Amino acid sequence: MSEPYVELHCHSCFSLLDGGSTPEALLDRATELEMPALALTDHDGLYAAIRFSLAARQRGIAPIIGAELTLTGDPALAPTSHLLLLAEDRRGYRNLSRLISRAQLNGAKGQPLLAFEELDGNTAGLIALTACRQGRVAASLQAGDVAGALAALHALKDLFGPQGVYVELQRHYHPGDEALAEALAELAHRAGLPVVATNDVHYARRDGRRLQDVLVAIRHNMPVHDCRTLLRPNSEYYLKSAAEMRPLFAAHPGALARTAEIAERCRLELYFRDEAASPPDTETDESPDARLAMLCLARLPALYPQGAARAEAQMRHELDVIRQTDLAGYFLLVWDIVHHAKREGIQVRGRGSAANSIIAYLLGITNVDPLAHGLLFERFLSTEARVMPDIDLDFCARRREEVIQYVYQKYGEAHVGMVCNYVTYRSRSAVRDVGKALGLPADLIDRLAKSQGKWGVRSAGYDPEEEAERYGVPQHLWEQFVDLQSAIQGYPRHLSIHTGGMIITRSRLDEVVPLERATMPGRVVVQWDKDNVEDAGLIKLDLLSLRTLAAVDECLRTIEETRGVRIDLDALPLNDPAVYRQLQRADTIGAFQVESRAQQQALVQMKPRVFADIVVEVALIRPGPLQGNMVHPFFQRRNNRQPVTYPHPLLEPILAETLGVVVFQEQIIRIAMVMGGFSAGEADMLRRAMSRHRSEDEMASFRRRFVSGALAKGVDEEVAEDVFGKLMGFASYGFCKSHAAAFAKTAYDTLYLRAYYPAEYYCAILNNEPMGFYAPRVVVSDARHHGVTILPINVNRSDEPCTVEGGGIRLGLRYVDGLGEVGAGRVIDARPPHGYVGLNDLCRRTRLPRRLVENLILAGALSDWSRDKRALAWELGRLRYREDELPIPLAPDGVTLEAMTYAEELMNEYAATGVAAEGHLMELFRDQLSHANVCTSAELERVAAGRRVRTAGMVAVRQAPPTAKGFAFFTLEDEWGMINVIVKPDIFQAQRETYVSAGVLMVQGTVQRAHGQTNLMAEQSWRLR
Amino acid sequence: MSPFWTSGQPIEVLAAEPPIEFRWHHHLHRVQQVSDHWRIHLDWWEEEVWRDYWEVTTDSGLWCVLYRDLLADGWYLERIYE
Repeated sequence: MSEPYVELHCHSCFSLLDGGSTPEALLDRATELEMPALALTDHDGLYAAIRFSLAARQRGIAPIIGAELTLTGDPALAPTSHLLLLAEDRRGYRNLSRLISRAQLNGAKGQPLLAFEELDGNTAGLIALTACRQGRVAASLQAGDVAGALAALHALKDLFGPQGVYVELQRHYHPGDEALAEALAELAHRAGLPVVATNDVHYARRDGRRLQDVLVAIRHNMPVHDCRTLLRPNSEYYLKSAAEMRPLFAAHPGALARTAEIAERCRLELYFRDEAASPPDTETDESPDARLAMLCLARLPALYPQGAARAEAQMRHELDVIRQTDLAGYFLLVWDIVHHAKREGIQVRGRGSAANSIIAYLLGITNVDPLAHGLLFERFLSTEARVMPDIDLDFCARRREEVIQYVYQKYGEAHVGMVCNYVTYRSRSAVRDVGKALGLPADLIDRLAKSQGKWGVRSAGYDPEEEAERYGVPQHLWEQFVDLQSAIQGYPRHLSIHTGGMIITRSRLDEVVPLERATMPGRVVVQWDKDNVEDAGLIKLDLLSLRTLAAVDECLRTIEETRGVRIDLDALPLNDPAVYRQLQRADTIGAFQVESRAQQQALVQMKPRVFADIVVEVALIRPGPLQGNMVHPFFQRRNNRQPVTYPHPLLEPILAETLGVVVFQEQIIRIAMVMGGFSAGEADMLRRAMSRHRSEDEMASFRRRFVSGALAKGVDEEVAEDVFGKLMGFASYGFCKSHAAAFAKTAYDTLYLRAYYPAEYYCAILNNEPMGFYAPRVVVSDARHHGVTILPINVNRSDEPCTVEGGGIRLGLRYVDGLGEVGAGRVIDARPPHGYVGLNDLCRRTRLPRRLVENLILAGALSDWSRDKRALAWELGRLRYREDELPIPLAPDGVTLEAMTYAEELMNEYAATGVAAEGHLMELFRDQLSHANVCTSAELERVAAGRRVRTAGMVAVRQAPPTAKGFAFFTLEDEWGMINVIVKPDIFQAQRETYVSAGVLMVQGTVQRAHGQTNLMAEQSWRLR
Repeated sequence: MSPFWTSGQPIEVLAAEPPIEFRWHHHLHRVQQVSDHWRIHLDWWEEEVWRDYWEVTTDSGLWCVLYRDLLADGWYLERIYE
C-alpha cells in the first residue's frame, strides 16, 4: 500500500489574478486522484474557505484551511517573503484570521504585509510551512546565506514550537531545484525539524497554466510576450498525484508521508452560528425570549383591535419557533435598529421573507399584516432548516448612512463589518483583459468587446473570427483567445462592498473572518460575500437604501409643510379607488414597482381591483415569470379566455388566489405540505433546493418523497409526478409573496400620494433622481399631463432642488447643466431679499463663470427680465464683472438681434437642463410630421390593427432584454402620450446604428392590437435627432 | 569558445530519463554524471516550446547540455561548455 499524498500548498482563483482554477475545479481533480484531503492556501485571504470547505465535504475530501501570508523579508534580500500557515483547530483559525486582517490593514489596499514580529502570540493552533523560493529560508539559502537561513528557521521554531514548523520542499524542474531541496533538507536536519513535500499548486491541471499566465499578465498590465520573466517557466504547478510526486522526492523519504500526517492534525469545522450577536444593553435580567414576547404583546391591541385571539395564537407559535432556533437575540437586534430609525424620523420598511412573520409586523419591522394577506411564516423560519432568516431593511436613501453609523457605535467597530461582493469577469471584461494579455490589436479588442452586445445579444451576421483574420491574428492565437476568455468568466477580479450587507459578531469580527480595506477610504470589508456569510451561519443584515423611500419621506414632509396635513401611510386603508383607477389605466409613471413598460402592459390586462391583485402583479411581472411562460396563462384565465383548472382538488385552496397558476414561493411550500405530506420545515428546504439548483440526486430524492407522500393521500402517481414537475419548472421564477406584499404596499402608497398630492409627489420624485424607470423629462411631462403646472427655473424663485410653488412645481437650479450644488448654492446665498434685479446684479453678486450664467440664460432662468435669450447672451458677453471691478453697463450699440426662435429656445433649454418646463421637443417637428402624415400617439390609438402607419417621438425607453432573443422594445413619447414599438431582430440589426443612437425616432410599421394594448411592429425607422 | 546551437544538434539517445548514452555525428558518448535537470514549457501563445534539459558530463570529456523535445519527441545537443 503506497502512501497517499495530500497537497498542502494550493492556490485557487481567489489568490486574485494569480490562481488559475476555481476551488471546485481543484477538488474535482483531487477526487480523480483519490486525494483524501486538500488544503486551500490563498494569498493573504480566506475568501474561498467556506465555499471550499462545503464543496470538499460534499466530495468526501477533508478540507484543510490555510493561507500564504506576505511577510516583511530580509532587507538584504527582498522586501517581502512568504510563509504558509495551516489551521489545526478553531483556535488556529482565529489566529490565522486575525493575522490576515492585520496584514491587510497594515498596508495600502491590495498590498497586505505583516511584520515578522507580529506573528508573536498569534501562533497557537497553527502549523507553519516555509513556503516556496520566496520564503525567508529558501531565499537566504539561494543567496548563499546559510547562517541567515538557519536563523530564520530557528525563529520560526521559537514562534510555532518544534511540532509546528515544517520545511517545505518543492520540485518543479527548475535549474538548481534538486540542489536547493538537498540544502533545505540538510538545514532542516540541523534545526531538528521535519521536511514535507508540496507542489505550490496554481492550477488544477497542466493546461491550466495558460490561464494562469494570462492572469499574471493581467496583473502586470502587460501582454504575455512582454512579461516572460514574470511567468513561471514551465507547467509543473498543477495538482499532482502521489505517483507523480514520488520520483521527485525519492531522495527525501518521508516527505510525502508527512503530508498525510499534517492533514490528520488539521480538523476544523467552519460554522459560526454561535457568533450571533444580540443587543448589548439589557437593563433587566429578562431572557431575550421573554423580552421579545413582552414587546410583541404590547403591540397586539393596537394592530389587532379585532381578531386578537387569532393573532395571538400565531404570535405564540412563532415565538416558540424562535425560541427553539435561538433567534430571539437576532429579532431584538433588528427591532432595535428599526426602533432607532423611527425615533430619528428615518423612513424604514422591512421586506423579503420577513414580512411573513407576525412578530416582525408587531415589532414594526414590516408593515404588512401577514394574517390579512395569507402569508406563510414557514417561508421565513422553521425549526428544521439550518438557515438564518433573511431580513432586509429599506431605508430612506439620504439617511441610511446614519443607521449604519448607529450600528457601528452600538456594537463597536471591532464587531461590525460590511459584507463584500466579488466583482467577477463578465463577457466584456473577459474579452478586454484576455485580449490585451494575448496582445491582440487594441482596435480589434474594442470591437469584439462592444459586439458582445451592448444589448446582450450577439449581433447576427457578425463573425468575430473573420474580423480577427482581417486584423492578421494567427489562427492558433485566436483559438487560445476564444478558449481563455470563456474560461476566465466568473473568476473574481477584485472585491467591492456589497451595498448594505452587514454582519455583527459576538467575538471580535477579525477572528471570525479576515478584514481588508475597501476602496472607499476608511471603510473596511470582510472577505466573504453574502453567500459565504450565510453558509457560515452568520447573521447578516441588509441595510439598503431605497430612493423611493427618500421620495416618499420628502413628499410627506412637503405635504405637511404646505398643507398642514399629516399622513400616516401605515394607517391607510388599502381600497382607495383612485389608486386602482391609476393601475387599471396603467397610468403609473413615477409609481414604485409598477411603472415599467412591462408592468404597464400587464396592468392593462390585469386591471387590479384589490390589494391582492397588486401583490400578484408585483410577483408576476419580472423577467423570470415572463421568461417561464407563466404570465400569459395567468392573464388568459384572468380575462376568462381560459377556464381556471387545478391539477388536483387538493391544490384548489392553495392556488385559487392565483387562478390555478403557481406564482408564489409560499405556494410551493404549501403544495409540498398538502400534497406531498412534507412538514413545514422540509417543504421550505425543498423550496430552497429548487431555487438554488441543487444536484440531480438531491432533487430525485425529493421527488420520490413527494410522490410517495401524494400516493398516501390518494393522489394518482401521474398527477403527483406532473405537479412535482410543474413545481420544478417554476421554482427559480417564483417570488416570495411576503416580499411582493411589502413592495405592493409601497407601490400603493406611492400611487395614493400621486393621485391626491401630485405636485408634492412628482416634486419629490424629481428631487430624488436618478431613480425609477424614466428620465426626469418623462416625469415632468407626466406631471403636466396630470395637471401639474411646471414652472421654469428662475434665479429669483428656484431653490437648488425642485419645490412646490403655488400648486405647481418650480424646477430647481440643480437642473442647470454644470451648475452643481456649489453653483446653485451661490445663486441662492448671494440672492438679496428682494431678488436679483438684472443680469449685472446677478453676475456681480454671484461671480459665477460665464458659461454657467449662459446656461442659466438658456434655461430661461432670467425670463423675468427678458425672454430674449440671445440678447441676454450678448449682454453677458459684454459684461465685465471681476471681483474688483465695478460693472459698467455698456451703452446699447444699436445692434438688434433676432430673438431666438421658439425651436432654438426649446433646444437650448433641453441642452441646458435636460428637461423642458414648457413645451415638448416634439413640437419642433410637429409641422413637418403632420405634413408627412405621421400619426401622433393619440391618433395611433384609433388606427385599425394591421394598418401600416408612420409615427414619431422622443425615445423614452430603449430595451433589448437578453431573454427576448434579439427583439428590441422602444417607448416613444410625444406631446400626447406614449407609443410602444417592437423591433424584430433582423430589422434591429439592419438599422442598428439608428436605433442605438436616436434621441428622436420616426418609425414606419404595422399596428398590432391585443388585450387593449397597442404596439407598432417596426419595419423601418429614421433618426430625426 | 562555447558552442551553442539554437536549434540543437540532433542526437540519438539510448536509454532516457536520465539519458545514459547518446550518439552524435557517429560518435557514441556515455553519460558519466548528470549535474542538473530542468524543464521549460513556454510560448504556448506563439510556438509552444516544451523541453526537458539535462546538463551532463560524458566519458568522452564533454560537459554539455542535452534536451528532449517533449512535443516532437526528439533529442538534441544544445551546448558544449569549454
